[in-house]
Amino acid sequence: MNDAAFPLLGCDPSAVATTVLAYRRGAPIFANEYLRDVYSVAQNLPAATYVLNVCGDRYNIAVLLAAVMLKKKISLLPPNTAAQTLQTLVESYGDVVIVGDNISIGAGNQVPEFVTAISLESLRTSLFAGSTPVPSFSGEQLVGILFTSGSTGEPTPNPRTWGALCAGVRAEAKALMLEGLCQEGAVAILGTVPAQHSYGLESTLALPLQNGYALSADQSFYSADIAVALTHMPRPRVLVTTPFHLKLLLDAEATNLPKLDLVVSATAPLSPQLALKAEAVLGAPVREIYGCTEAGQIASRRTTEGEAWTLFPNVRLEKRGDTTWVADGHVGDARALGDVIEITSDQHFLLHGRAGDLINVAGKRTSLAHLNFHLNSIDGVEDGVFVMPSAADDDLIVRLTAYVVTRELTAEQILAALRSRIDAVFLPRPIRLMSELPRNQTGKLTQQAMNELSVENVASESK
Amino acid sequence: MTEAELALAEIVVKTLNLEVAADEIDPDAPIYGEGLGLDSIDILEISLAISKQYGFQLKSDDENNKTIYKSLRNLSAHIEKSRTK
Repeated sequence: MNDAAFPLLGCDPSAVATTVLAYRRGAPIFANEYLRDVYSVAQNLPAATYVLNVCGDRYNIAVLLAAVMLKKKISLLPPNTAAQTLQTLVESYGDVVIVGDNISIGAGNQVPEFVTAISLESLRTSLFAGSTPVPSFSGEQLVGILFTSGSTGEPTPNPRTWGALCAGVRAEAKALMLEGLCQEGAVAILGTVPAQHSYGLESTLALPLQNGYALSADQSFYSADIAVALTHMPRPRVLVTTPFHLKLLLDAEATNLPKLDLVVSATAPLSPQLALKAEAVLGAPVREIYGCTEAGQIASRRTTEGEAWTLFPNVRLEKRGDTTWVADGHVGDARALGDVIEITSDQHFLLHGRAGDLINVAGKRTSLAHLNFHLNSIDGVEDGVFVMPSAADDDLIVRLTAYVVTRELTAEQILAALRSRIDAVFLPRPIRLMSELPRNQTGKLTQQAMNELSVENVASESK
Repeated sequence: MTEAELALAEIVVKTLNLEVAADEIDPDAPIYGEGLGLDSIDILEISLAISKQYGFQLKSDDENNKTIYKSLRNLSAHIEKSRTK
């Protein structure tokens, strides 16, 4: 079903001059302006097969993504803007141009200064003169490639087709019951997660574009930013966020939070307590999305109604040994899930945490094997291991601990070396320097030995 | 380090459970990335602590944003200018 063509925009093509596609500081950007920007950037794109999209403004991300599709090129959506990540992607794909905007590139911004990036603004200087109809793309065309961390340290590519993305977010609109909200007016969505990640790409970018809703282009980093950006959008308004951002938002007492119509959370399970509080303070239902980069979103639940998840229409789960696979519906071919799942009926399941050595910090996924690989690739590190402490509070971010054997390096030097290799959220805090790791005769670190290390760690911290 | 800077350093160390003593922090070292080595999650956690302690909210559109995190000294100066309690 995913080879059918989908238009770039879900709104009525004859109404692009009056359909608001985005809000920037309260000012509407209409769909026809977006189309002109897309065609303009497309005609000025350099001749490279791949475009690494490091834009910071969500509207700019959407412009570049569509311009790249229009030119039948492929977007690379980086998991972070660390120097090594960008360098690895450029080296693996070769024919790559990096495009950012004035939020992400330039002095003091996220992209390291020595990385050569073109600004989107410069690609928009000469405007496209021809007509700018809403383009349609084949369901088989790639929107772009998302990345997860592989066990050997290389970013693992996850190509996403246009068909899978469009069918997925149309199913999402149904699962989130957004059609009901549309009766009250044009829905506007504000995201606090990057659009270069699977959840952000779907829920903060494709969901509004495919369903004729507006997205917020405003920066939404601090709680105060989020509150202001929300008031810049008319109701009905939707906040797409994470348990961490939601907790900070509700804890920031001085913030004047406007009433919302829906809160969507993903990346980690939300505690029922926080969901209840959010529903009371924000005056809106809180719905969670479950998915992964490999398969996209596949299920939802209203947290306050119980812990069971409901699958999106036509999506099916299947057990093969200990692993759960998802298939059909917008997912298509079967893909393995990295979570421990208990199937309770054809459409429902319970989630019991991450499988194996996969970990999730602040919505970013990696494996301990990946982190250990990087730790042990540092010159001067003789042995080292990352440990994930057990979570004290569901909604707060848990930091990793690293145990390192080294004769020549300080903890600061190890941290600096790791900083250029891994995403900042996985940087260990603390780093414990050891004379040796408690490996058994076969050289393995048993789970028990690791747990004892963690316990000693906690004990020494509480002194 | 001034009294205000030391008070802020203590908030940072306590909020983030850092392994340094507050008075060991170099007030001129960058807070973000190198130096103190904090990331964006840390900055959000500190921003919450600052709003509770000093009664004002940090924002991205503040024109001084790029200089605020150049050092603990700059952040402290920004707080002293903006605080309501």
